[in-house]
Amino acid sequence: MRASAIPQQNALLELRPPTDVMRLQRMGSYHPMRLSFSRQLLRRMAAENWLVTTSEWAIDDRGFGHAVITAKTPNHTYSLVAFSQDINDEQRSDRVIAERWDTTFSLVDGVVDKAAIAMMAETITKQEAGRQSDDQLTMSRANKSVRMFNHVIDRLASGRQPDATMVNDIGYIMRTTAVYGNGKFGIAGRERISDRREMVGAFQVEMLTVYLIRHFSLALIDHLAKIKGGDMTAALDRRYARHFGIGNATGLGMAPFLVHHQGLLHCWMKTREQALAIVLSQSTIDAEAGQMIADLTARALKYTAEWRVDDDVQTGRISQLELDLKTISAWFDAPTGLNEGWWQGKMPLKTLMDKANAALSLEAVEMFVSILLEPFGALIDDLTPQMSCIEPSSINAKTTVAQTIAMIRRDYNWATAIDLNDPHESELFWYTSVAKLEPRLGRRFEEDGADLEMPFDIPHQIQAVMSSLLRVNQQSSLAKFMLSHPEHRYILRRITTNAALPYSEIKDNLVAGSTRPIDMLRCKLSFFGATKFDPKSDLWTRITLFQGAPLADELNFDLADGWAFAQLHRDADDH
Amino acid sequence: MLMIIKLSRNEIRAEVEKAIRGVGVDWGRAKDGGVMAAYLAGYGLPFIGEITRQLDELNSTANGTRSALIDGMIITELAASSNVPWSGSVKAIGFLIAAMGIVAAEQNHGLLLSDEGGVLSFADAGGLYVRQGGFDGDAASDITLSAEMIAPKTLIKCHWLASPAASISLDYWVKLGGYASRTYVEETPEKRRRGAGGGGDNG
Repeated sequence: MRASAIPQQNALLELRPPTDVMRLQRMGSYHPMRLSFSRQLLRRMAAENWLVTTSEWAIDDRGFGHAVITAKTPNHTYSLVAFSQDINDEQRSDRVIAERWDTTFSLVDGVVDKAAIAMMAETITKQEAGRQSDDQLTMSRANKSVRMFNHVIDRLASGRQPDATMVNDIGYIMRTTAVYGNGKFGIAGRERISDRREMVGAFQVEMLTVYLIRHFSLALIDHLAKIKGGDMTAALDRRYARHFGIGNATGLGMAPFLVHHQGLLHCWMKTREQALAIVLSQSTIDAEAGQMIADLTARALKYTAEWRVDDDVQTGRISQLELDLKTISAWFDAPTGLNEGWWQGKMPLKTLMDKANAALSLEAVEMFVSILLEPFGALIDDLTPQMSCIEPSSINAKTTVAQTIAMIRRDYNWATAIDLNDPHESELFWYTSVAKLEPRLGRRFEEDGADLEMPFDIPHQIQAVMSSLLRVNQQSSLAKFMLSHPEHRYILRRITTNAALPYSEIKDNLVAGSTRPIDMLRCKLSFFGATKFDPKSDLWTRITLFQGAPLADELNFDLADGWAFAQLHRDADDH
Repeated sequence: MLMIIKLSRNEIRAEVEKAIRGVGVDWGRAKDGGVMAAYLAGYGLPFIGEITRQLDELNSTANGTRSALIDGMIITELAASSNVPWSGSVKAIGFLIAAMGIVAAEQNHGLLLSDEGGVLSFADAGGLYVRQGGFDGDAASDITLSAEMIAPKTLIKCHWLASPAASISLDYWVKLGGYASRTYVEETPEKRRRGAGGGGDNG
């Protein structure tokens, strides 16, 4: 969908405050949006005419071997080196502690030669256990959805298309279980590419990796179907091919990122809020944009109807979301809804958002945010460079003790208000397991290991530092205080960072028994552009990336920018 | 034979942070240590031997002279925020130089470090300078750190390395990993069942 012309804008409305935005329940209701990292990548790929080709295909008749998929940008070449191997069903696990995978990948900076591929055959297939080289930008692995994989090959080989319901319900041929970047396990640090125009944005190299893995998965299906079916073989219909994204099993590994990277969290959250404020501030919009919002709502409703999960909580939320989207749709239906020509009213989008806030579930309100942002790329797409930043390491220690206390009272009253005598508020602890250094969540009063917990007990630290601060000279500098009380440095850095970057702190107790880490995962994944959140517990979820995205040979502007709320229409059933 | 391993600065930062935490230092200063180590790696200045020796000392005693690996950032922030120079005895002086560079760049200060031999280092938003001939990375030095805006001409400007990878001795890295591993919790089937994230079966 094309972004509309720049409409008239009032003075910018105030952003929604961090006290509303930085709550886990709201963050856990986010949906992908046009500022999501996968959307950013595809817009750039289309605008710059990137060329994606299969530059080497050494895959045998059983589907095993290696391949190289190349993406050529105006200034650089990136090569996805893919290895496919035979593993048995018992070895196929999505857990991060697995040691063998159907496929392993690395995105390499530049063109790869045979020697490099031979070396990577030894290292990439071992993933964390193999030491990688510093011209590799990412490392990843994926397992087949065996059911989907075999079904598609069988159908295509017999000249038929796959079952539409199955395509929709699963939505991917392969799912990754990790995509590592930024210097992990010997691969290149982000500094290697951070000054490249196409890589300035957040997680662009990881998104490119996943997009090329999707390309590989479709090529592998095509290859095996032709071997099996010969002349009988059908080509996969593009509607189905587009609907295959790449699945991902995402666990707790992602959650600490939002705590460790205060600067980035602020940049992501604030940019989204800024985009929303810009859109809501429009004094009027044109009929085309008004119609797009109505159409997108209808599309979101179909998307939601196709969103099926096993989790009871999420199923309930999806049911409510459907009802709420029907409510929004009704607003656009004259004569029972808004007046015809509603978009000509004063600040029509703010009026809509106010209605949504007053009547709808958080899940629906946040999906409506995604809907409202969609038509206004001309206004908000330029905000995306703000979504990456260099995070400060030092503390401006000129701050006095009294000023620090004032910051705590202003920004952390949610934390000082918690009754820490209630065991429920300390029930959990976050730790790193010795098994592949996987982050875990433990029960403090039932399990060992709390003495090694990660410092995510923010309210506890806030109350402790407040107690210490109140006992010293209020005009003393923070630096002097830290020299005698270094044990508070971690939380003091958070406090001073948060004073400058107000969207940098989740305003909930992450060690309370009621905490749902899945909310943290969902927030982060929405910024990636992940769809079809499918929680398997409070600790992990399956999602799909690039579902509905254009294929590599159809990267034009309309397709590259118009795949929000992708759905496979029910009428695209068996051929 | 000396085995060398190439590491990204991000790997260095993360592992040093955990290793410092592993000898019982709080998370706040452990993070400082990781950031300073990655900074020194970026300039090609020595750091890994000093870290392992400092950690060995910290592991055996909690007292003694301040180590810049642990307190370098706080001392530097104090000097940067005050009109009064900070003086005292400090070990692992390279990390104080790293802290000067980081604080100077992030907060737009000029900072001057002197020891018994005269001016040792200067940092401002424009870069990092050290005395010709370098410095003893381990020994305790009586130093003065003060706010100063102009770089002395006697110092040599350091250059940020183009390569984002640093080559270090594998022995040091393994030793560092040993300290870092103290922050990990042992795995049990029960812990995996109750507290694990991503995973699932074939589908």
